Amino acid sequence: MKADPPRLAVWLLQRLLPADRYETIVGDLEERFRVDVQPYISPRLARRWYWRQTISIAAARLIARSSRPAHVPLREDPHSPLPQRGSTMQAIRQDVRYAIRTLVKAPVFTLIAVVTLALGIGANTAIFTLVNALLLKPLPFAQPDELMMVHLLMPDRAAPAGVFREMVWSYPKYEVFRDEQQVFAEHALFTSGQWSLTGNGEPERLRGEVIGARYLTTLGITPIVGRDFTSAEDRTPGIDGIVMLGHALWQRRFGGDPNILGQVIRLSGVPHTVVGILPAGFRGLTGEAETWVPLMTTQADDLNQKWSHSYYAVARRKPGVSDEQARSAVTVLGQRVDAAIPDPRGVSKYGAMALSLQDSRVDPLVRQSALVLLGAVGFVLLIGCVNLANLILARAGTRQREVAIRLAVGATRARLVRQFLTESLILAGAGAVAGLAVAYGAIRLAGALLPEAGIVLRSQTFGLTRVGMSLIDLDLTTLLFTAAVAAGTAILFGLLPAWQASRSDIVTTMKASGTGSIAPGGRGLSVRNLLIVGETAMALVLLVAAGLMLQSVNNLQRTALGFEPEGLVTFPLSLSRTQYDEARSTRFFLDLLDRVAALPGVQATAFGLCAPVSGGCNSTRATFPGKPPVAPGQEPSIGVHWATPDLFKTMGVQLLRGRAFTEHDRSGQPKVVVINETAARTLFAGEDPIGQKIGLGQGGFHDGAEVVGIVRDVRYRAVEQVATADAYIPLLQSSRANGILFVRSTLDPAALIPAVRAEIRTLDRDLPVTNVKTMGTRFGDATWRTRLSADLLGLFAGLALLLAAIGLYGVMAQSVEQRTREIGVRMALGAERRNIFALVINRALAIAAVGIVVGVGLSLLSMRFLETLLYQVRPNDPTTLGVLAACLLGVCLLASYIPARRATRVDPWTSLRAD
Amino acid sequence: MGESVGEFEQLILFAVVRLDADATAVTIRREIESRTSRIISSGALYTALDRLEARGFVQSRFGEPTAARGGKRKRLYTIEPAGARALTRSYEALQKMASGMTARLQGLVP
Repeated sequence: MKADPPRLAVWLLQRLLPADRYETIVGDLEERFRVDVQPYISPRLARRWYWRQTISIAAARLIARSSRPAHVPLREDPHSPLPQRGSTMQAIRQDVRYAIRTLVKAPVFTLIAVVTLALGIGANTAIFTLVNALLLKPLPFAQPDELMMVHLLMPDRAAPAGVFREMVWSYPKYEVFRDEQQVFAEHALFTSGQWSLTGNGEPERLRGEVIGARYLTTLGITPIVGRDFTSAEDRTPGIDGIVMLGHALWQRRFGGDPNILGQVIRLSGVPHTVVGILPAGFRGLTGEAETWVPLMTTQADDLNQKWSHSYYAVARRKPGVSDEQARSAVTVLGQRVDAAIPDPRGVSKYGAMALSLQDSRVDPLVRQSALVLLGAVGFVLLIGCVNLANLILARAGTRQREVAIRLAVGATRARLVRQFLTESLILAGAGAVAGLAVAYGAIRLAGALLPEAGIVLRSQTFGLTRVGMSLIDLDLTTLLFTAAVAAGTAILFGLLPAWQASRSDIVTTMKASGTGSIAPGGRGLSVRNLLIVGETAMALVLLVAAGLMLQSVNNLQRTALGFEPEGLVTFPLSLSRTQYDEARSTRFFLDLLDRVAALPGVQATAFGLCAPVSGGCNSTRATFPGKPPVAPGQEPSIGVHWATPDLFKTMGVQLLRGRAFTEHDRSGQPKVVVINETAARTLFAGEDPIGQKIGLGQGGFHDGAEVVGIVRDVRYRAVEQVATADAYIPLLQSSRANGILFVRSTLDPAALIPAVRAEIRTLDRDLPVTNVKTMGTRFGDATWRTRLSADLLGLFAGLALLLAAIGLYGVMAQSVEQRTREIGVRMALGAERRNIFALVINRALAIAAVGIVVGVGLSLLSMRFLETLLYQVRPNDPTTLGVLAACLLGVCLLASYIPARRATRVDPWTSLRAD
Repeated sequence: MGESVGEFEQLILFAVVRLDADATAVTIRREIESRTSRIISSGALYTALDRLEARGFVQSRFGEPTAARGGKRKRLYTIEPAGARALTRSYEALQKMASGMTARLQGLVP
């Protein structure tokens, strides 16, 4: 089969050569290809030959182009290694040309080096962009360091006295703050909201924010079309609906229609007039908003509730006011608020605090995870550098002749070091450029793997983490970081060999035998051994970190959650209050349950309020009618879940005592509740809860209901968080317009979900159904931080292990080669093959063992930084340490096996004769 | 003192002289490689030929296209008087330095 010259190579030459040269040179190559090369070897080898020629010509052309000498100096001989005297600029250019030539002449080494560097630098760049976006980059608002979050503080009931929890504002309390504060130039309330957009096409669930009119001004954002909310629209509650849309929504749903202003859209059935469009990329402080509605569209009754805490507050410091001053001013303001609107039970003292936006950016655990990953990937690069240094040292051994000649002809040692460093810099530069491509690819990949928006809802940092995630990008800071890493890397792996190589003793080398060998066991070898010890130690540290994190993931997956996640799918539903009154919403859910239960493959279905491991649920105060009243402010907290009779069966929650709800527990009948184990244990200490009465602060259950059953605890908040007291009340006795449809089936979700959607659409065509997830996905979302850290650490540890093994192999192979004569002598004196084998293996094991011991020490010291990220595993877990150390030792054994085998194949006669 | 040429360029110029009307990059390489058993890199060869032409030591012109070259023309090199002078000068200088030393050199090579 006749092959053709590779077209890419031809194209490359066409780009590089002037037209007349291109024709003749490519013609030459083709002639040689067809006549001298192709008839004799395989097509693959022929193409490889062609590429080698192309690279040689291309490199020569590039080098020639880069220097434009007025005349050609006499000693310009392409094969002469002698450097020229001349100006510094010319010297540097020469260094570069010589370096490129040297590298091109050793393509395998250059390829290995560039690939190693590309992977190492690329991984570091990728993780850095994550750290940059989450922690370092300024938030995308005007002068973000002036912005602060202002929180109310309430005593934390779950903690000892004096500990406060951050909470949100009520409007009347905010009014007190607004009227009395002196330190902020701008401030505004905001909260997240969700609406169903109906009317123009598919019903869609939109996320948005309800904001005070000064919100955008505080952040420094202006609408690109239309206007912001005015202060007139910030005065009295109950105004007509107006809305600002996000840029993406405007494009996606309204086709970027310039006449959008003045159009009326229906949000959850309520008409809103569009008054403005906000800039692209702005998603509010919650990080996911697409619509913005003024605070004053809320009804007066709801807004003026002193104890309805619903709003976050953001504020911008006045110029000249420091962070300290603002914080102490807010503490005082907190006391004023408490004095103006005191706790009616006269018990708790509320307060307030301010926190800069920068400090609120990210969950401390996420911050720590990001920094750990940065450290880990730095280690991998370090190990890669060590390998490269070793590789270069090995090459330096064969270049000693060249070095000696150049020293003899008058080149200074500094010049030589500079020459070698130039090679390293060029390698690092090429690696950095390739690394940027690797990083770009990794970031795109990671974007697909990062968790969905909804899971960070309940954390303190609400949306800022999401805002941070949206900043992940390859920008100038990242490029500077990459350049710095490349330069540092070049120095790390280049300086040592350069310094070493330039220190050759001239006379010894000139007299050396033809193979140019270094004396066996010379100084060079022990430096390399030291490097391997370092590599092995670092590899072990990474392995241990990965091992601990993977165990944490395993422990998370084995945690008893209190229900059966397999086969369970959740459909969050939210009925608009304007269209559905109480009776109608209950009717809707019951009808839906009947229809879904009738679908083939559905084993059970029910209505519940919240999904497990999704950030928690409702909570209220529990009272006990018939018992002496508890001191005000001391009533225990309890979660409230609306439920249909089949909820426990559908979720797979075990009924421990008593009974679950039935259809007889409907309105008009005596009210009943089911509580969980923790509620039974903590609220009814010692007594049997069944038959007792408990009152709940929600759902119309204030007067108390009878406890009829106890169920197993379900972890609603997070996988790691133990369940708290929960109570379930029948949907039939208390209506609810929003909740979750749970469906347990044997069907594949891809088949089940459309079927259920169809049933929902039959009952209400306009009801949007979004965020449908299987419990498996929810579990994944809940554990994303640990799983992602574990996966990445595992990847890095694997890389480190591979690199360390390669490094050890390289050193052992080199050592065997250099000691060929010694081995020959030993064999001639009677040593058996297995003795030689043992000799090599023992040496390798000695090096590895030292490295492992150092690694164990390093691990014990450093793993405590991981402690807060781990789950149910100790940072100095001896089993993990032992297993991984043994594993590493095994890999080192494997790596030294081949050189040891090769050593046994040395023929004593030829090795002694070859001198 | 006139101009001279380096060792590599001497090999090329001798090949051009020997090949007479048939001196192309391909034939020059083949000549050098078969006579001296040295491997010539394409980049070095083309660069050297360009430089020799720039210094006026050789001249090149287009030759006939052939099928094996995909219909592309050859480039034929001929030596110029200046090139012949430089070659002679360099070669004679080397000969004068080497004169009588070959036996002694053999003794130094182990």
